[in-house]
Amino acid sequence: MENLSSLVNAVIMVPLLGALFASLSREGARKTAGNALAVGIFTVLSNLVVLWRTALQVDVSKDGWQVVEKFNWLENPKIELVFGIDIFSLMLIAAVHLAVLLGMIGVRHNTYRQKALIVFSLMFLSMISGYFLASDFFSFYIFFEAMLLPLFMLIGIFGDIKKQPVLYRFFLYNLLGAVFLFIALVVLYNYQNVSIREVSRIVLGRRWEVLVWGSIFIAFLSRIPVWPFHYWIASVNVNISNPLVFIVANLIPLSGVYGLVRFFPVNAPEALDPYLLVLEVISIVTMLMIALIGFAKRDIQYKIFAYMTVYYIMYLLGALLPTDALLMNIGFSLFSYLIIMAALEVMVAHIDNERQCNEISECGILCSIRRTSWVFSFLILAAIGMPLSSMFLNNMVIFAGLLKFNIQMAVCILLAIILSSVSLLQQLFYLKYPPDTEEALPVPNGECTAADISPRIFAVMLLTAALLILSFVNPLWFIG
Amino acid sequence: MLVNYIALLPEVVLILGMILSLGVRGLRRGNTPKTFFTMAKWTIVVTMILTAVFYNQNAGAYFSNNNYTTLFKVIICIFTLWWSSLSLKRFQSRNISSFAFYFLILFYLLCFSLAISARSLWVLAAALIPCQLLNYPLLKIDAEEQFYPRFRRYLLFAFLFSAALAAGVAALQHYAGMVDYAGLEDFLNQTPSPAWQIEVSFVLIMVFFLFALGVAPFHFWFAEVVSGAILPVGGYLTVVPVFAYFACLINLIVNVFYPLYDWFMPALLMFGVLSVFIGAIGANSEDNLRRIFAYASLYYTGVLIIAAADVNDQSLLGAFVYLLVYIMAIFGVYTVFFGCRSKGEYLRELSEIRGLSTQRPFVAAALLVYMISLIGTPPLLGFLGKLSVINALVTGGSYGLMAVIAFSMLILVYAYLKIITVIYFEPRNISFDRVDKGVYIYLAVNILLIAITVLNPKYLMHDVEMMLVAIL
Amino acid sequence: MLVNLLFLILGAGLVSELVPKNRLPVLWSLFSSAAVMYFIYRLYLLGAAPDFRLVYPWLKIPNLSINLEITVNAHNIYLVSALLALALLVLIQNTFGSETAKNALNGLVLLNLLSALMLVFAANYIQMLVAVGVSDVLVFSIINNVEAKKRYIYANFLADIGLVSIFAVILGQSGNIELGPLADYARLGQHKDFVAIMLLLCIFIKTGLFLFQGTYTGLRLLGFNRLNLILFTATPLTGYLLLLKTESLLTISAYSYPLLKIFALASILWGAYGALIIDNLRQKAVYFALMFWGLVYAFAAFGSRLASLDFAMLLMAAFLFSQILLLISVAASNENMVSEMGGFIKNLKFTFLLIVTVLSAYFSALLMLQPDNIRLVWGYIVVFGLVSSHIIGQVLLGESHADERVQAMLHNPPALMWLPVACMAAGMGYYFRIAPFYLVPVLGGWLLLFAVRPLRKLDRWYESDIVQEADYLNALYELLIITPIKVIGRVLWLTVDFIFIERTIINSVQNALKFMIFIFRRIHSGTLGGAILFILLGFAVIWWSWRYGG
Repeated sequence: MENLSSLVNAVIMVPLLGALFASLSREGARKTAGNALAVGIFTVLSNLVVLWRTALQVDVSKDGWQVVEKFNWLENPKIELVFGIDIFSLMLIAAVHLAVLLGMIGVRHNTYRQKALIVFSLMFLSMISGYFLASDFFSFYIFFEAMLLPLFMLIGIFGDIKKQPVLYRFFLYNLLGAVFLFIALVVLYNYQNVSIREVSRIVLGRRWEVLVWGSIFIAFLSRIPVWPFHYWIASVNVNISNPLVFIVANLIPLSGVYGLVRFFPVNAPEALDPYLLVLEVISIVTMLMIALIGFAKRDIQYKIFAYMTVYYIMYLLGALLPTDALLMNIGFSLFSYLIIMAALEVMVAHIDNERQCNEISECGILCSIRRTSWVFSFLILAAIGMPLSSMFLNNMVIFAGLLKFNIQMAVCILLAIILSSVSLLQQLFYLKYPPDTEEALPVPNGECTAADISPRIFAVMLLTAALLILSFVNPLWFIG
Repeated sequence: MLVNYIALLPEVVLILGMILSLGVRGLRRGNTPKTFFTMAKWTIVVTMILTAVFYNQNAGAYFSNNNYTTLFKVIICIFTLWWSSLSLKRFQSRNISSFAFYFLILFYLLCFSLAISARSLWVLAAALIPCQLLNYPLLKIDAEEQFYPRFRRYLLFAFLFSAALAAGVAALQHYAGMVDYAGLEDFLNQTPSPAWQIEVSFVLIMVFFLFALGVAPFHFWFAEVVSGAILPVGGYLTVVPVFAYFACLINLIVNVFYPLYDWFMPALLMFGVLSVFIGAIGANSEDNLRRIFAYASLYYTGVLIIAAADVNDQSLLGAFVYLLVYIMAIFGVYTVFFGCRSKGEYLRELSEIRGLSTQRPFVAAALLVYMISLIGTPPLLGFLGKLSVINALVTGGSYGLMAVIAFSMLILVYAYLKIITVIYFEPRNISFDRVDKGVYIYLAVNILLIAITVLNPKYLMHDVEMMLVAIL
Repeated sequence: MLVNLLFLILGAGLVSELVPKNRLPVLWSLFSSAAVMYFIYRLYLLGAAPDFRLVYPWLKIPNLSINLEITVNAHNIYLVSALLALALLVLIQNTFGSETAKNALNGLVLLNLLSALMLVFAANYIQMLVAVGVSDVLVFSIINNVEAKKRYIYANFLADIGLVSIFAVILGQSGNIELGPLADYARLGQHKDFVAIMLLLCIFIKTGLFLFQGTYTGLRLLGFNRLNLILFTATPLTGYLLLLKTESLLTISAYSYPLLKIFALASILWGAYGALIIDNLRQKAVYFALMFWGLVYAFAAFGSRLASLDFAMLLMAAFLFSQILLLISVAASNENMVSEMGGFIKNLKFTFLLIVTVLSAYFSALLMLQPDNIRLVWGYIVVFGLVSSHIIGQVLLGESHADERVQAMLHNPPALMWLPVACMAAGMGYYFRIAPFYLVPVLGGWLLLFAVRPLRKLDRWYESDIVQEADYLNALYELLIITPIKVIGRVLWLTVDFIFIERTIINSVQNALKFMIFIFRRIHSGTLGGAILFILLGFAVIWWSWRYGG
């Protein structure tokens, strides 16, 4: 075990080192434009190898944190940072890495401040990996808040945000969540410092219980676009045209979902039950609302955002069920979901770019640019839950849990999922603007000026597709 | 006989250094700005070494050293040394005499050193009053004339509050019959309900410190004065005196006026809360970089006061860690200001540093790091400060104050976000001058210190505690 | 043995998908056909009543452990053979027909075959749902027209998610994924009506029964071969197979059989109406298929479920009839509009013979079922005879409207295209060898109708744009479902997001901050008076603290 412990740390350190190298790379000259990107891709790939090595040592059949690494950080107040890994966090880290990798490939032609882009993405990657590995309160909080900075910088530089206040609100709002978590954390710490899994053992007074757990709730919810806070997140997300930044920005709700998954429902005291119900109702209202708005809007970014939000909330509600049996299913499903979204965003960026460059209006991509159309169709079909990725089976299990628990609620969830999936499906045909024309559609091989994706990207996307299908066949294929 | 006064050796060295400076200025021709810096530098280094050596020696009844005093003195020496070496470039680039600046800095050091170790209120007053009054000539060094009225107004209030201190001490001498710390403490302990004159003199003394620290509502001079002065002076006044005044204030409260402090604490907390609010909002209302950070400092001073108000070991440790951490970051910010120049001018306005990151990425990154540290975001050092203060408040059960601090921080962050936006997200419209190597070195050292402390905070959090315990 | 064969199909399919689009299409087609033929041969060796069962533990994820099952027995061997035979026909047609992406289509045919087989073999509903989903994806790829794709995937996505939720309900309540114990759900489960009706609706969508036929009428823009592939071997078939697999679930609700009957009969009638009225030959083919599926469902609805052999024969016959329409289209240089044809008999005598052969096979297959449900069979024979004779009569005997080019190029389709159809029809004819007592009068009646064309007055509807272009269902869906959703979405965005959050909450917070800054600036005016005020405030606080604190 000893030699492995260092690997857990390495998962956090490798991207940081990569960020350091990338920040020292030369930028500006034409020849060196790809330096930072190369460093970034290399870093992510090597971290994936590290992760894989760690994964091989994890015992799939066992529950709880494994390969635990402790680090005595402070004496007064006594704080011990603990890092560990389990299958759930492993899946998430792997998915996040792959998503960022895809994003990096998607921005390879982007020369605008690429160094900053890579440096901050790698920082973010390190922070979010740390967050998933954290198994004590303090490290959990540290990474929870720390990932905000690179995110803010990325959105600020590349987010095409017209109005700065929107960005500030987004950041402040997230920071507010972190403040709540911090306060709850310090209060809990002063009662008893334990690992996350044992939080429920802490006995607080009834009033404190509600306050502390309420703070924790708010902290994690601040990351998830739940009504009425979805607005700020939405207004930031829909403006991002850089795929990598979009991917990173859309990993933020994941941190909230993950937090709630880790703390609830096994740990939540009973005093919270009424509040939990309120939360569920709000979540479902949000889902339906965002799905409806996404359906009505023409903006593809909003549609993807709506789709992602609906799914995140679905996972969240799955996690909040009074059982933790669904945890692994959520993990497996999230794995594919994140990769699909990343790849989809890369494709959307390509198509959008082509559309803007060529002012394409009435040309269906599905029959005009073959490779793009193939990949795009595959991803959307996988996204809406066709049996092309691990989402299919695991979502079914999650649905089963939800339906068993409360069928009315589950039907609403399904409705939202259908709506958001259909609005995503519309995107398959979205190059056919305006959608209301009655004219006959172009036949295959019709005239189309849009460029297809390059064979190299196509190969990457094929690999991604293969990965997804593999994860459908066996979600844990990489550890045999 | 003389051996008894050996503890005063650092102070003697300082006096010698000052005399030497005077002599060189009067007798030697062809002095450059570097001349006086060199003398000040060596004087401070020797003083620091001697301070460390005689860390527990007493000199008579009026002057004693212990771990606590030594800690503060050494810190003050270090920051003074850092700052004076950074400031040199400012004088060199304009080619003006640096004598007044370095001479006054040595003088301040002397006064602070005496005040921290003082065991009698007369010594304390004698050391601190000149500091306040001499701020006036310090501020005037190379300052633009339009700011003189501000400085004069400051001088007026400095007189007023110095008089309050002197009056307070005199009244104590008169009504209590003694002003040495130990005696006074005994007297107050034995007098459960002291005469109102004694309480008034206590208030006068406290008010002087609040004024000197710039705690709201006695903060009105600080932002104006600091933003009017040249960068070396403004930075010095922001970074160094706060250590000395804070050390003396805590020492007085704990070791002398503790019996009276009981009713004063709510007022102190109120001042802290006011400072936190006014600092956070003030930072948002400004477009001048130095004023923004002056108000930010007000916020931090407020937090410091709130944190320390409980005066037990936990809260004092928290406050001290916070002080050190935030001064480190503010120091870094001022170092960055040295790097923000265009056509030889040091930039002051927010709109002038647009797009700094595109031309001076490392300076911009350093500013970013310090601001994030000031926000208290982990994993940077500021987190430790925030942690220790909030933890102390939770331990003490002051949840309301904790909430005030945490949520005003959000308002303050809004101001920082504006700065980040300007330097990172907006396009550049002027060309920035090359940055001195010295600035880079200091930035690197500062960040390295931060990194080391973050990775191994035991030195800061554990060893310092041992030293602070000395006054309790 | 079977597993190897399945892998063979999979491999051949993938190879066809991966080879360049139009490189050596005939070679690859022959290769694919050979694979299928080999499969058929090996099945043939098994005999009529094989008993092969393989259970492979596929996946064990938390809350779900799934076995893959491959079973060939007397119950499904005919269906399996029929599917293989149809695939073979499509492959051959593809090889010699006019298709732009032959290799890709070949691959899809094989993969689709595989997924259909997996569906046939399924013994648990996970395997079933996976097969259905995969089949959807494949058909989505087979359709090469944007508008058709769109309709197809919307409808089938809804059906799929409906199916997934139904089985999620069942999974949640029983925890069992086997299809066998589904009947127990009647005892244990809740929400029975919901489950049964949802299931039926999903199945109807899949098969494209009445009200849901829009999915397939949109396919008229596809090549004829692709059309036939989809209509008889893909999604509609999966719908029917789903019905077969889950029939025990239907008993849990009193509504299911009435619903099934209504939809089945309505489909036959609507199919007949469409086949008569609509001009486009491919769309006619779709309506014929609708009639056929209506019939199949009607058998299930009226309690005389088709045996494997019967269904296989019927399926092949219906497919062959559709192939006839294809051959007519090929003969007429890919002309699609029946109103633009007529009087082809002179040049297409041989084709006419072929038509009669196929029809005799079709009628024989129908007549075989007569004992089970006499009214249904005869009713269908009448309707089908009327409609088909009307159309074939129009094409072969009707007044000629064909343009000169079509008329000049008119010829019997190439032997390589009609031969397989003829062979299969002949094979079926040989297999049935029904006493002329039944078949001869039926054929005679059909020929009479063919010659007389009693419904010829309906031809004028071909001219009516309103009838031809009408898409009532789509308009209805648009009006009743999509538009309200869009309106609600827009209103929500405007009221909640924009007016409430942006204009109210955020603005008031911002104004509060601005107000505080304003106050701050006012009191920090930098004057002497301001400073004195501050000092007084400080002393006031101290006084207050002295008075009330401590």
